[in-house]
Amino acid sequence: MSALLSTQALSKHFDGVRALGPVDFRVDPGEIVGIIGPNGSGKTTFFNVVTGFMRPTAGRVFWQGADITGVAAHRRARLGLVRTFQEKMVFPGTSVRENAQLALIQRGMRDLSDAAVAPALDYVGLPLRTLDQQAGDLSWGQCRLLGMALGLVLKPRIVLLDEPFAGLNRIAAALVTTMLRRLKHDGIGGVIVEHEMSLLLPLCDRVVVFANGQILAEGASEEILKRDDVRAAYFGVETLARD
Amino acid sequence: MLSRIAPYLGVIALGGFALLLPQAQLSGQVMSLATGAVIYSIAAAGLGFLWGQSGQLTLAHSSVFGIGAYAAAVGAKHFGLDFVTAFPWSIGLSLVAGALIALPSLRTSGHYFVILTFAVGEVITVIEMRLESITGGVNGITALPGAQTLFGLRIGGRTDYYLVVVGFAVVVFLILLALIRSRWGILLRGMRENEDLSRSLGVNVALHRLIAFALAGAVAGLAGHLYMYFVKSIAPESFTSHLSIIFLLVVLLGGKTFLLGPIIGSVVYVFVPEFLGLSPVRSQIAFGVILVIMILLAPGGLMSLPGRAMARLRARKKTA
Repeated sequence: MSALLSTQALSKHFDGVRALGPVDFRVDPGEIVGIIGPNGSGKTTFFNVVTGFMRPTAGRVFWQGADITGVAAHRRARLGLVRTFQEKMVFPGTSVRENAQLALIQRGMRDLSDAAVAPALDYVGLPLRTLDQQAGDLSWGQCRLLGMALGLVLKPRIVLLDEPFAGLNRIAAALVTTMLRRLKHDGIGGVIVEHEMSLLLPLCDRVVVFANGQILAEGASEEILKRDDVRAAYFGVETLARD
Repeated sequence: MLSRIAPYLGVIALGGFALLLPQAQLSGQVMSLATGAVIYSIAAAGLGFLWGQSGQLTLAHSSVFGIGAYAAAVGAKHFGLDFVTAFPWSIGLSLVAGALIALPSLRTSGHYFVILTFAVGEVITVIEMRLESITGGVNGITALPGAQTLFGLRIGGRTDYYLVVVGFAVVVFLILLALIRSRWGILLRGMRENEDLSRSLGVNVALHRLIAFALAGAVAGLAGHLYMYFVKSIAPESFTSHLSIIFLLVVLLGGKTFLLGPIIGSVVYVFVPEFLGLSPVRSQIAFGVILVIMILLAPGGLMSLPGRAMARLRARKKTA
């Protein structure tokens, strides 16, 4: 099966310092891939380069086999390659309704009524009573949910989620978990960068470990953390598995 | 249905009120001030739309306003164009200038972009000074096109011109209102709030920003055209960055996210010094102080005050 999204020797340097690469990576349609790695291992840079928010120093990005390395970020989104952000998740100074309406416009919907907005919020478990609230006034967890809802309105083929569980309480984390399971059920692929292993690993078909800007290891969720080199890179100790 | 058309009716009602003003037998000086205030409000509305809706600020707005004025003046003096036939030139050239000013924003943003627009504005002023054979250089152009007609009606005196300017203002504000409430308005506000997120949702930020600048330029050009036919004599020094700061002050005074903010701002800016009898220097000091107070106490502008007061009242009722 041809990959939906793949990269070939993708790398990014900042002022001559290598932050990423070379990275060969692939995601198949409907597959959920987790990316783990210590801070500074290049995960977010990888997201930025793959989604077109940064130009790679070298290497290529492919979408269904076609080279999209030079394609602008907004065009990649229209192809179905959608991402979320760690911090800037929503449009804070506008209402939740207008946040969702913007995504509906981008999907080409003519109907921007509350009835059209409702399914988007419902998909991520965000209550409809928040419609009139300023998005910036939502709780952190609700902002995360709204941010994901915006991306999912576009009906992406694949969604790249940057630390979707960061800063969430247990209830919000449960809502995000449910939403991610629905993603998988609906055949939408996902690449999830996350530190919270207990939440991430059960959701993933495959886990990729980044260290020093490169892929250190990849494999099934249940196997990957047993590897000594992964534990050494991620936790900074080599003997933890044996203890 | 009524809630959808109410804002449009509000603009038309305000325009109707402004059109009735000459019936109050006001002095010629007051009518001139009112005409100036309406022209300033149109120009500032362009900046307010750009800044308030798309989040982009430019300090070259006065230069684009000037391009509209120069197009009208050069058209009248060298090409025999009149009020109507010069219009496409004033608006078209300003529209192009507005879009060109936006081009650097594709490579830079924030404060750096604002400084860059300041530099662009200064360059335009220098060009206006150097193109002596066309612009009249430092001395500018005095165009005396004579009495004009619009839709077959003669624009005779001061009052007639005031009515024409108000008519244009109503049309401009109605168009801007429709754009603010349109799907495009939603996209612009998204870009204002979070450019990266907009891009990640497939919004072509560069294109929409370019269009927003072009639109603001066209509105400034229209105001510049009206200004030229009002004062009939223009010079480069009339369109320096100082005027951009005045437009900015007008927008801030009224409230940058409010369509009618520039009207309130320009009325305060034009009439308050006159009624208080302030000299130009004193009025500048007064507006400097007002600007600081506004930024500190009411960053949303005068138009935001009723809403804030209502919110406070509601909060008090809740806690009581």
